[in-house]
Amino acid sequence: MEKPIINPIRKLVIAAIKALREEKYADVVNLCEQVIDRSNDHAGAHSMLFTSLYNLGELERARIMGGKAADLNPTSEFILNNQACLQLDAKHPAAAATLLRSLIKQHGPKAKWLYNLGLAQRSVGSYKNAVDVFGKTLEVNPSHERAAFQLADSYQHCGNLEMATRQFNYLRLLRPHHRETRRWYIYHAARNATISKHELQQEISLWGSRFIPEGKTYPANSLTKSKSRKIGFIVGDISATWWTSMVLPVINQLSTKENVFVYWQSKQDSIGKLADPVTLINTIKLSDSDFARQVRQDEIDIIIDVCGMRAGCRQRVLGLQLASKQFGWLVHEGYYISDKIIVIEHLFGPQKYAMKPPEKRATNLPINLTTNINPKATASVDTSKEKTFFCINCAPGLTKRTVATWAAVLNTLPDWNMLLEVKRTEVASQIRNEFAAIGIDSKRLEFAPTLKPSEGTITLENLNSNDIISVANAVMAGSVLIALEGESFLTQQSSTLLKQLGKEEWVATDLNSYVQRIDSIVNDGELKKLSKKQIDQSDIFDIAGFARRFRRIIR
Amino acid sequence: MKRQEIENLLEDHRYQEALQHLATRNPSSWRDTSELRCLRALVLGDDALRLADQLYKKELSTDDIRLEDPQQNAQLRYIALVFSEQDKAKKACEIFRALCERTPLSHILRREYASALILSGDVDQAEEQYQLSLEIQPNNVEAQLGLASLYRKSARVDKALDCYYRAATLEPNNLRHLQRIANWSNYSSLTNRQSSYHLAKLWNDRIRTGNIISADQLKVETTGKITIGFLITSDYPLPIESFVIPLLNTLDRSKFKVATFIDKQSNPQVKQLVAKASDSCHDSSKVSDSKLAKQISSHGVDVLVDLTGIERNNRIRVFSKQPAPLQISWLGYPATTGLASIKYRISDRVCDPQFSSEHAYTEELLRLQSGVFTYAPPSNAPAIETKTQDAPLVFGAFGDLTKVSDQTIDLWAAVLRLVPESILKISHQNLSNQNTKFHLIRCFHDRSISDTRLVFECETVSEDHLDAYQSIDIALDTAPYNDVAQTLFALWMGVPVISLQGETYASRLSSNVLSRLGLEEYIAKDALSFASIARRLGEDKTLRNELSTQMRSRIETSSLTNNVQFSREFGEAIQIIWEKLCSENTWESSLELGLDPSLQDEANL
Repeated sequence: MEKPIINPIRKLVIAAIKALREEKYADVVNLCEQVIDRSNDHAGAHSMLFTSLYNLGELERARIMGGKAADLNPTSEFILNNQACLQLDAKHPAAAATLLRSLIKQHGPKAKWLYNLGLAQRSVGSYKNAVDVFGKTLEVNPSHERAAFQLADSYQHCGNLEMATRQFNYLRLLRPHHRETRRWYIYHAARNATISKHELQQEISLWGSRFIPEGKTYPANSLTKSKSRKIGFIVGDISATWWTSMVLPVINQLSTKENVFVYWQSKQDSIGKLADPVTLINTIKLSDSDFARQVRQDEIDIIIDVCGMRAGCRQRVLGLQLASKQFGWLVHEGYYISDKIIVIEHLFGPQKYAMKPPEKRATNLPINLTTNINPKATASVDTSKEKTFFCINCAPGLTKRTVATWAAVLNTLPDWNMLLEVKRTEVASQIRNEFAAIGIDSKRLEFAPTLKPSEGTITLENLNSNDIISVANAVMAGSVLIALEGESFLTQQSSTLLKQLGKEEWVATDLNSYVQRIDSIVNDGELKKLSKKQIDQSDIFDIAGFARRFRRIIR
Repeated sequence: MKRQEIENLLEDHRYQEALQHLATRNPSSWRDTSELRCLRALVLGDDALRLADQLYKKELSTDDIRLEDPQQNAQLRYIALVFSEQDKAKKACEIFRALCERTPLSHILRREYASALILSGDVDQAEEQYQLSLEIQPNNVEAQLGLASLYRKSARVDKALDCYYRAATLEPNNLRHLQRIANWSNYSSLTNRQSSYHLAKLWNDRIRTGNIISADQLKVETTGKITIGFLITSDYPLPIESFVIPLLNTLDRSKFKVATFIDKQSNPQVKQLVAKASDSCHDSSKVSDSKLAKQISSHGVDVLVDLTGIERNNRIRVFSKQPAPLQISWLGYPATTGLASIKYRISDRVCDPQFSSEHAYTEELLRLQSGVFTYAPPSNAPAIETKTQDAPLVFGAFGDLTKVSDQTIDLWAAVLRLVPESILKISHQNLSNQNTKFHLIRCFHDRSISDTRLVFECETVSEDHLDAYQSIDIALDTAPYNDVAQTLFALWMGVPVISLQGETYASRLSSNVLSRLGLEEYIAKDALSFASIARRLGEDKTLRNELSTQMRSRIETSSLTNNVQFSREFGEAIQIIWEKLCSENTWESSLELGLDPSLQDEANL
């Protein structure tokens, strides 16, 4: 009797299955490739090949052939899920999203698939969809910490500031002992202006008491007593414009007479032109202990923290008295975790700010926020628009309070409209919806990614988020700018700048007088712009003078 | 026994033993203070008060309070605490004030002073003391909770939530904080169905296993009457007499038996009415949750109805032990409980539109045709007076200040802007606190509404004081949590109500009522339409008078007061789910988790 002829493909497949069971993945790869050579659409071979490549760590090969494996095995959870992860890692979010949706449709919502789908949405900048998907992830698993973080961050990107803060609060429930989580909450709550200054002070104190051992300091005897003073600047993740226009010039000026170190805690690569004597050390990857060791080794006498609670925060170390004198400058929240760090603005007189004049600032700065609003819109914005308020610095979004106040302005001046500086469509959409909810027709709102107010215009600054560079640009260009003096340090910066420029009349102290001030300026007819005399008297561009005062204070 | 040994007993909370040993000690300040401490801890209020009075008189009969002596300070502190707990809050405040002057940096004293101030009615000062306590010691959980409670009652629920979140980060293992956050989030305009669901599920996931009543102890009788048990804990958030008793009275006794388990009620008449409406009524006021659960199962309750969810005075622990084969949620709590052992929730198509809200609940929704609740109007309401005088239009808001969120103020301010000659009257007893009033004035001021347009009355309008509604022309509802009790009071008094219909159950309760009365035109979709409706109604006095005169008959002829129809549908729903359970014939107690022992029996939020 003749032996039955076994199909060679079948023989190879059987061998591959056996090898797979024995976890001999290299053999499986070899065998499956032979099968595929003979039969290009063999589902089983593709499945086993993908599995083996994945387990061997040959991820790129797995990813390349994974698409076909997924097509031939559309119900395989393993292939679809892992191929989706590989596609996400390889920055092909659309392909990943397709696979994940298929998985969810077939097998129901699982937290890990939903989470990955949310990541895919995020990576194409679809934050609104990401909010939806991360929300669904938490429905399945409300303790999913990463989903909770991504949801909060996505809300932030959509400009839904109150929800972002609330979601960061929720994240604190999941990670009550996690330092960074609690820092994120404080950072966002402060910048979203969603807590009062007393609560902010409390939160910062609580953070300090939780994460800094009580009563401990670094050994005082290792604090240097050398004659040549060394100043260390801790620079966190601050905006490139603030760095180059305000911080870098002062550092360079100080370095002409002092020994200056910069501890770079930011992820940004573009540092700009530091003066030669300045020592730059990239410390972002150092642990707190190693950072402290570095600073002590450098024998720093005076630390200037230019970070606050931003990414790169080293308050934990400062709370243990890293240097004899420690100051916080410019970008903090108004409070530090202990009195071991002095807020330097309290020691300045009225001339609290100095910056490079606009014409001397760098123009090729890295852009922190991508824009998906039509870039041509910038070019087409007619800055001589009549009866239009130029609302700057709205990229982060507006709080409900800001929306309500600006709505009151629009209600008071029914012929006027607003042009808002917003970079993302989601943020624009959120703002539009917020205004619509209180009865402001969206036709009265326009959006542009960048605004350059000019002479004869009236500029309003985002009440919940001050940017003194933008404010300075606007008023130097001849625009009239109305600011509200907020409650916290962060929301008082613009009003402080205006006072420094001798423009107290442009500062309102409460929301009602803010609306009235705008109304009276509009109806005044003559817009009194900032004069050259006022600019000169303010010393705002006198970096050398500012550095001198700075030096005097820190010594 | 030596002094140190007695101190050790006190530290171990062995107060009875300590008291016995103290009796043998020679008189001294320390002995008196320790005795007072023991009496207070043993909740021997009368004895503690007697001793406190005695000691205080002794203090006063000498010179002024000698604040230099720490021993004396300790004694005075306990005296003040006892006074505070025994209705002598004003005296307690005097002592605390003096003690705080002496030791200004004691966060504990500040906090206790704040509690005494609240009891004495000086809520504004209490807020200041809580703030001071937290400035001194931000880790102070009790001060955070005290402040949260204060904020809630003064229309600052978002600030209250921030305090609860802070407390939760300070004590992450104390699930009561999470429970509070889940509950009070329902009052915040930042909460949507999804975030509410997240919180409820998170809370549910964190409660621990143990102590579930086993399936063997629960009998599923497939024949005979179905015993429905109602767990009645308080008159909040909806009055029992108006919403629950009508159902109890009209449930078909040929098919059902009604068993009620009722906690202590502030109004003793309510208990009598409940007892009268029940086939069996059991006092559960001093019964622990575990014992109550066993009691319920031993009474053979087939379907247990939860009326409170995780609101104040809840008994949710009882439900987690699954004392009845079927458990449903109804009426009192506006969101999902998150508890897997509560399988169903009574609702309707207005509060939970088909296909749009299932994902927001762990319970399966049972939508009744006639509506989610029935209502019995107050029997002693004054007659409606027709307003004939031409006076400025008066809008009114007489509800719970906890429900006055930022969104609510947006709506009310929008109305006042659109109707320039009108005023808004807000009435609640908490408006006697200056901080509350100031907060509201500031909120309206920020929205360009002058305080001359606001009238504050310091009285809570309840069904015994409905004549307050004679003074207003139109009632404005709250959002996102509607005050449906006030909506019904207003309508019964002939005052039209405008309500914003939102996404959540809580924000659709009043529109539920308005729909059932054929008054859909007073349901707004956004702030603009809310204000427009107010203006339209404000301009039409004839319409208002017409509505006013017809309102009671409209209510009486609607499904709202058709208790028989409602109870028939309610009963039918119960029968369907019961039969479904019986036909499954594989009853198992759900994999429900018991509660963390850190949750206390008093369940007082």
